[in-house]
Amino acid sequence: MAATDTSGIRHKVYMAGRLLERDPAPIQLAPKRWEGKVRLSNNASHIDRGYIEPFFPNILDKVDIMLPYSHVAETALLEHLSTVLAIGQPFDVCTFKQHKDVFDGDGSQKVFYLQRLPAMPMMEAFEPGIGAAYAIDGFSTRVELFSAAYGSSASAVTPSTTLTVTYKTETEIAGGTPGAGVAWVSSDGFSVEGSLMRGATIKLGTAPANAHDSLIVTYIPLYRMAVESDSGRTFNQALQEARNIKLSEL
Amino acid sequence: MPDLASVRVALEYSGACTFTPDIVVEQVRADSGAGLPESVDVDLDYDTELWDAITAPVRWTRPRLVFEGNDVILGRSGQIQMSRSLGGEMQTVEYGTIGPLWAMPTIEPELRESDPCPPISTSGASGRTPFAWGNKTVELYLGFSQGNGILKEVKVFQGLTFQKSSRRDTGIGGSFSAVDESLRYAKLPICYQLPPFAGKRRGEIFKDLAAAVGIDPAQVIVPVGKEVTKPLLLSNEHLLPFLTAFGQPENWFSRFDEFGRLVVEEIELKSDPDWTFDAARGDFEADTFEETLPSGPPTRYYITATQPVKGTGPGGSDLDRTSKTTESIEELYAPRTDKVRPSAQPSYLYADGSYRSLAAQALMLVSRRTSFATTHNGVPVRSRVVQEGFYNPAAVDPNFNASPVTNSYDAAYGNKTFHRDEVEPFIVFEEATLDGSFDQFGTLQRQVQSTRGWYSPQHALLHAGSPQSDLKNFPGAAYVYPGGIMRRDPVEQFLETKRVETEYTYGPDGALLETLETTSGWFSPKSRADIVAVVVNPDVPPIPILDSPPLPNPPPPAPPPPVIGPPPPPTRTVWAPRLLGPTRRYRNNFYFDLDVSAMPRLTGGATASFVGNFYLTGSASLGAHVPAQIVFTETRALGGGLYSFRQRLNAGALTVPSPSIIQNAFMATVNQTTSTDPLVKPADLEGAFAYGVVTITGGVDAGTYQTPFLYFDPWANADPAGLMVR
Repeated sequence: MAATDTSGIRHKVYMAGRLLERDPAPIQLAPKRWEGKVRLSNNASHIDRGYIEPFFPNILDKVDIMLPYSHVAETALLEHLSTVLAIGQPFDVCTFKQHKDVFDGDGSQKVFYLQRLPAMPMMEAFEPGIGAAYAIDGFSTRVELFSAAYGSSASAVTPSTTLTVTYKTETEIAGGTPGAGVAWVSSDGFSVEGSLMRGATIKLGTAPANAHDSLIVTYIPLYRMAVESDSGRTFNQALQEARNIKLSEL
Repeated sequence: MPDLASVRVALEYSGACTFTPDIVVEQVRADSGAGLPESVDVDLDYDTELWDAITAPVRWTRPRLVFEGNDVILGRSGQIQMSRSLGGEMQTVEYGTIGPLWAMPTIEPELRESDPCPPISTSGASGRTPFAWGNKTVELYLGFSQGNGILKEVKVFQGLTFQKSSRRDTGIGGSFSAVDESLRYAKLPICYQLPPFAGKRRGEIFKDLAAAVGIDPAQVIVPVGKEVTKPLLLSNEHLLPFLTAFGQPENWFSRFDEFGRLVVEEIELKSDPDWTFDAARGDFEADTFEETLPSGPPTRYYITATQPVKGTGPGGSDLDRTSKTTESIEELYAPRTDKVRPSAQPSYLYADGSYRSLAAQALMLVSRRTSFATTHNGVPVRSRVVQEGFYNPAAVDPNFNASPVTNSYDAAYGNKTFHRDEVEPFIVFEEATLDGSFDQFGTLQRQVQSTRGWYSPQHALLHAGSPQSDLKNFPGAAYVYPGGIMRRDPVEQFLETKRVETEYTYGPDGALLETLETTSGWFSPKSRADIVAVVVNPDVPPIPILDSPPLPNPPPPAPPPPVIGPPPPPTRTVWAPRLLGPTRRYRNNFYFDLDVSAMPRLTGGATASFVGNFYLTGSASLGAHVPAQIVFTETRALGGGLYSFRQRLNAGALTVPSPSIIQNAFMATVNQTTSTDPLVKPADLEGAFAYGVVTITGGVDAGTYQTPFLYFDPWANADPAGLMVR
């Protein structure tokens, strides 16, 4: 298991049931944080962040993904892209790039909610052995506890405890209790009120400390996306076709 | 302060995940009971933890809508917008849904499926509940968190959904508005029915209507009122607007007081209308803050008032309505008077040459215009404008009572015009009336415009004898007015001076066919004149009559010139004296020379009398001498040359010493008589002017001759201190 985040995208992008034959360059992930800054009359500032329910991640965001293909030569890839543009339902996208959800603990709470579903259980089913093969690339989910708020002191940048991750279904998580040092991470996630909101439950055997930013979960997220825009087609040369697709997370 | 309660909030999601976070949400609960929701006045003093959460530099926030006591699922309410009026007296909350319009999302599934709320559903129907129908309670809470899963909430709104529906872009979204209690009184629909002669008094009906929106009748303070015999049928009326209209017959005014009671008071109608300010006329309100000060104190006041008056005719007709508008102007004024008043009251000579009854102008009513506008059944049928002001009807010039005419203008104004009264009175000087006649359909048939004023019709000239060289008054027949115009009456009469009648003729199709306008006035058709011209004086050209063209008859042939003619008869000399000066000055003595060097011959024992006038206007430091006119006369035989007259002006009473002839020149003196007199400074004499008058009686040059006004520069040769140099 890799101990650190890894740089770059180290695997072909998964989109709507298929690993893209070739990734575009560049791939752009543009997170949009759910917060607003208010400048006050005494030169102070408020940052207001949206609050859904307790023990959701401190920072919530949505991601736009840009896939600019200057030329799609592969017939199968072109076929797939064209079809994705035309389908009506949202689809999953995995860029194999780590994401962190950070939580406040209160010393007793052991159930938290990731804002996205971890991708690796699904990717394992799609490409068996991917977890082990890419272990060195940090594809595994990590659950780390800190004794104090991360960054509040020199010692608080090193996790005090790194829990052992086990994927469970939401039903299993609801019905059981993990042992000390173990974190159960949802492999199927939950949705709320007609799939308006999707998340994943984690249940810890050890409660995070009563401190801000004391639980950090690093995982490869599975984005639920829809096509927001499809650029116009310009055919400059014979036998060449460009695609410039913008995806928006739901 | 509403009750506080701690409640455990369970959030249940319909997906695979069900969680019950072990947190405590403190919230302010609505007052229980069936009473009206109260306005929410957010008071954060009671909860420092909430205050800390609100003021934290980084905070998590969440709104929570409560509909009929049930939380609206977060994410189902769309954008929430709360508006609060200035002063916080009225609040509204608007939010949308993304579900079907009537499927108000609630966490209670059975509420979605049942249909407990009348009135839209038929019996036995179920499915989409009309939960979003009007008059349902809505509360809005704002939650603040600093993290750790602790959310502090504060209630910022409590009200009722307002009947409104709208469509979103997708056609299935709904938009809802909720209002607090204040708007409920104004906008909540009321339905009420009362048959005629139901026996209820107005106060009872007020209580009924108030009860319809949930106001306890004990909280309605209303007079008993008169019995209402007319039927009443209200459909979706609003409380306060209707009460305002319904209470008008008894001058009732409805309002809510600070205790939430509906108070109905009888108000008294103002008998006097409010002042109307019109900045275009220079009015300004003393209470108004102006960045630039007015250049001076107000000297004119406009007072305008409009009041309804009763219908005209016996008993007055409801169909006839007359409004009366009075517009008054006050300004500084002094009424004009005759030079010498028969009543022996003083008259004061002003710098413009007029005589006035007051030594100084006073602020007084100088003009008043009263307009009456009459409508019959809403159609304007008559207007009458009466204008009052200072006016003195013109009168005959009594100088023409004698032949030859005399020249006493003592009983005349400064401009030698005669009038009815010795002081001009404040009287009506013009009245204009416009009457319209209409047919039964309101079409204008005839219009009469009449103007009355002071006037005396002109009359033919009457002469004392032949040749017609001398105009004369003929009492009972005609009178000579100032300017040589002969009129019918000794004084002007108040009579109709102009009348315009307009008749309209319409064709069978209603189109205007013809307009006949007839204008009447005082007029005498021109006729052939027997008299070509009036010779007032053989020395001046004759005055043509009525600008008549040359007579068609050729003039008689001129007699042949004699071989040796007789000596020419003596003719009047074209001569005018001149005033020179100041030719010398000693202290404050000014010497003026009356130049009569071109004096005509004084033949036949003629004598010349001199009238010297010396006018001074200046600053107040001259005291009683402002304005001052010094008049003195001296009569002596003259032989021509320069004559001088002298006048002394001092700080005491005017002294008029006998003029002394010094080297044939008149001398005017402005000086001090005693050492205590104030020094006369050049500034005091600014604008002063002098002139002299020479009257010659007898001889061919008899007449009055006046010098032009001589303005002089008192600053000439003044010393640096502004004093007169010696």
